[in-house]
Parts: sequence; C-alpha cells; structure tokens
Amino acid sequence: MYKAEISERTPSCFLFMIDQSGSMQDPVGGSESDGKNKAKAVADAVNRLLREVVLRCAAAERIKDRFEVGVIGYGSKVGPAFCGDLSGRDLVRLSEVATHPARIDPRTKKVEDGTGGLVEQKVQIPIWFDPVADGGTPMCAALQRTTSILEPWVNAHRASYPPIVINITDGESTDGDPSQAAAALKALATDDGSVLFYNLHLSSTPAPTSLFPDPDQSLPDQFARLLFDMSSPLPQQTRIAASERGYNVTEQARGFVFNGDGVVLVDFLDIGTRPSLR
Amino acid sequence: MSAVCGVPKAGCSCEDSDDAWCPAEGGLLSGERLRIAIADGATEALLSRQWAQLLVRAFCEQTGVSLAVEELLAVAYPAWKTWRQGYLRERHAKNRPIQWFEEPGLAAGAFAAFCGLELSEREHSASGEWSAIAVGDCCFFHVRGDRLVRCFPIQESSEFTNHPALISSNPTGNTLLSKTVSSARGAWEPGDRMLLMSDALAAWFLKEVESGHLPWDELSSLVVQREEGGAIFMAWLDKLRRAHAIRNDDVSLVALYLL
Repeated sequence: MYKAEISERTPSCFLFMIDQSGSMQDPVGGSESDGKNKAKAVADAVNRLLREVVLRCAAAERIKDRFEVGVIGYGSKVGPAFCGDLSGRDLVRLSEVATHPARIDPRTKKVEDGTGGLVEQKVQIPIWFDPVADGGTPMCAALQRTTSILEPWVNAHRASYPPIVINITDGESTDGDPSQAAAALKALATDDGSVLFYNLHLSSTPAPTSLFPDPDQSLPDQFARLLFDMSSPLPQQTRIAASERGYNVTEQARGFVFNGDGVVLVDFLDIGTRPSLR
Repeated sequence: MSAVCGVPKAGCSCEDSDDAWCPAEGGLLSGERLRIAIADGATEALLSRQWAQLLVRAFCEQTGVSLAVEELLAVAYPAWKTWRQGYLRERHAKNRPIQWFEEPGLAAGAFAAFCGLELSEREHSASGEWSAIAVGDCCFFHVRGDRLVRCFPIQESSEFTNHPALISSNPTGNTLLSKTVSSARGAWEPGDRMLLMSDALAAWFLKEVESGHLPWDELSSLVVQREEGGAIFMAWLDKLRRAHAIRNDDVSLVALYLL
C-alpha cells in the first residue's frame, strides 16, 4: 500500500482545499506567525506547497508531469480557485501550474558563496493565490466538491499512488460537522490505497507548532481535535522519510500540522533520486 | 594488458537517462593502464546527465594522476564551469530564458553517484593490480570463474536506498565528500571479469548472487553480442521490469573481460 511509483507514466494527484472565509481575517496565534492573518497564512501555505511540488518535478526547460493538481477555494462560494488561464478548471497538469502563476515576485536571498561568505542572489517567487477572507466556511460542501472531482480520477487511475488532499483552514466549519463528508472522501481509493486527507490547521490559539502528532498528544482547541480526527494516518514510507529527516513520528502519526509549515509533506514523498539532505 | 570491453547500446536506458559511462563504445582496449567509469546523475537535480558525463570523461582521461576524488574534481570543476557558462549563454542567445522553476536547481548544482576503476599491469606478468573509487551506489563487481571475488562499495542488496551519497558540481555540496568516498584495491588475472553498474542493475545483480545464482554469464553474453546487443539487452530488461525483478530506472553497465 502507498508503494506505487509516482512518475510521468503513472502520475498521482494533489488537491488543495483552501479556506477563504471571513474568519480568516483574524491573526494566526503562536510566536512563529509574525502577526500575519490567517488568510495570508493560507495563501502563503498553498503558494509554497505548489512551488515545492513543481520544484520536485523540475528538469531542464520542462516539468515532469508526475501530478495533476487542483485547488478548491471555499468561502463565499465553493469551487476551483485558480485564476487566469487556469480559471475554472478542477484538475490541471503540474506543467500548466508551473507555467501559469498569477504573477512572479522578484526577491533576493542570501546564499553561501562557497568561501565562507554570503552573497545576495535574485530569485523569482511564483504566486498563484492572494489572501481572500470573505463569507462563511462551507467545509462540508468543499469536501463534497473534492470527492466529486476525485471519484472519476481514482477510477481512471487504478494503478496510481492515491490522491493527496491537503485542507488549509482554521477549522471553523459553518455548514455542519465535516467528519462524514471527510469519511466519504477517504473512502475513495486506487488499488494502491485510500485517498490521503491531511489538514494544515491555522489557528488564532497561541499554542506551539505541532507536526504529525499521534492520538495521545493533547491538542490546543476543539477545531484542532476535529481536524486531527479527520486526518489520515501517515503511510509507512512517509513515516520513514519523516524519521530520516529527524521528525519524531510514531506509528499512529496523522497527517496534521498545527500552525506550522506543511511543505515537509511534499518533502516526504518518494519521487526520484535526489541529493541527500545530510 | 588487453581487455574486451562491452557497454550497452544507446537506448537501453529510460528516455531521460541520467547515466554516463566511459569508454562510450565497446571493443578491444589495450595499454599499460586502463580506466573505466560509470556515473548516475540524480534525477531530481538539474543537468545531472551532463555532470555525470563530465565526471566519467575526466576520470578516464586522467591516467597520469592518482585516483583521489580531489584529483578528479580538480579537473571536473573547471570543466563544469566552462560547460555551464556555455549552456547559459546558449539559452540566452536562443531566447530560452531560465524559468523560475529551474533557478533553485541551477544554483544548487548537479549531482551524481560515481564509480571508477583503474587497472595496471605488473612487470613481466600477465596479471596486475586494480584500484577503485566510489561515491554512492554505482558498483564494481570482480568475478573470477564462477565466483564473485569482490563487490564494492555496496555488499548487500538491502543497502540500496533512494538517498545515496553523491558528488556535486558545486563545491558547497561536497563538504561531506571525504566521509562518503570509498576506495578499494586488489589484484586481477587474465580471464577475470570486471563489471561496473548503476544502482538498479547492481541491486538486481546482488539479489541474484544472494539467491545463489551466477548472474555474470547472463550479463556478459548480453553485452558481448555487439551486433544485435541493443535489442537483446532491451528485451531482457523489459522482461525483468515486467516481473518487478528490477527497479524501473536507468540501467547501465561497463563490462571488461581481461585477456
């Protein structure tokens, strides 16, 4: 289970659900948040995740289409959230995501110059989403929309690594308890396993970052508990990758992150040979 | 000293193969010293195929210097810098600018696993010595008769991972190289077979040995048939891949039969 090769011949699927509701205007809690509001944190999180997936699949002058990608926004409405040329589309090829950001922001960063010093390097940072905070939080409707997109996908890709759904939210659903809708989503499966449903919880509660806790760990608030309970356990290969990188994960670890950086979830995927991190 | 060298025909690896080997063509090799090498570029690093090619060429062309990895890099680093500058100029000239998703990879540099073997003759003797260096999971197997005499640097098929040590084209990526490079020495006799392989084939080879089989005859016969070698090797590989007996990855082999 969760051993299928992720390649251009047998691609997998990432689907992000991004909470764009009015409650996201509030600030993120905790000392690592820099005082930014949750809507900015969501936009930053999904932009970083998309960037990371693209970089993992980059080759010279092209992107290896190892994934199809979708982004569902939920707030005043529920639907595909890409804009511009990708507008209105449920799932797009990763190469299309890479070549159609909303804009590119130029930034500089300091890098080692190889002789013990630092030098400034210009980098181009792609932006697909800007912060949005408007309306209620129809998480159940978003889960149902996600399920309706992924059901034909899993049927058409029986041999593939199962889709990974990452929900980035403050957890304050306004259209009912999303647990049942989440269960229906996780019931979808390819021959390699069920859909993986992970949650990145951005909370106003000032509590420390928590990454991949197990059921025994206490959680900061009721919304964290709800999202944790809906999150899929991490597959064995993902746990091994996490441990190799120094993360403390048990066999019961779930794909849940509280007020932290979810980019590691992409980092843990087994795609291709890459330079050692040590 | 003479040896028959066999390498696979072009097209034996996956479409975007990042493997490189030297010599590029098989045939009869002679000399006081012979060098062969194999390198496997990291698929997730940009331009790794070009770096792998440059490494094997730098190793095989420097028969006058020691096998130390520092000597290899003393040649490879400037060669890479020249090649990279030319590559970026060409992209600019052809109006194919570097895209945002290429920037981090270009800055980080290219990476490859590597294994190089040098053979030298003993005076007044038909036999001689060999020396090898390796970084990562490209492997050397020394076969004598029906026995595997030596495997280097990996001893068991369970040791293969998705995160082997690698040589970087960027000096900042090689800070741990002194800890990850391995070297070995031994003696060779006429009739010995010296095989270099990239990781997917090496892992299959070791698993066969661990199961009590003698996989070198199968491999040797595949590369020696130079006329139809390509098609037969591909058909054999397809059979192994369909049976999931070998990882779906680039497959490269340099086989020396010492005369």
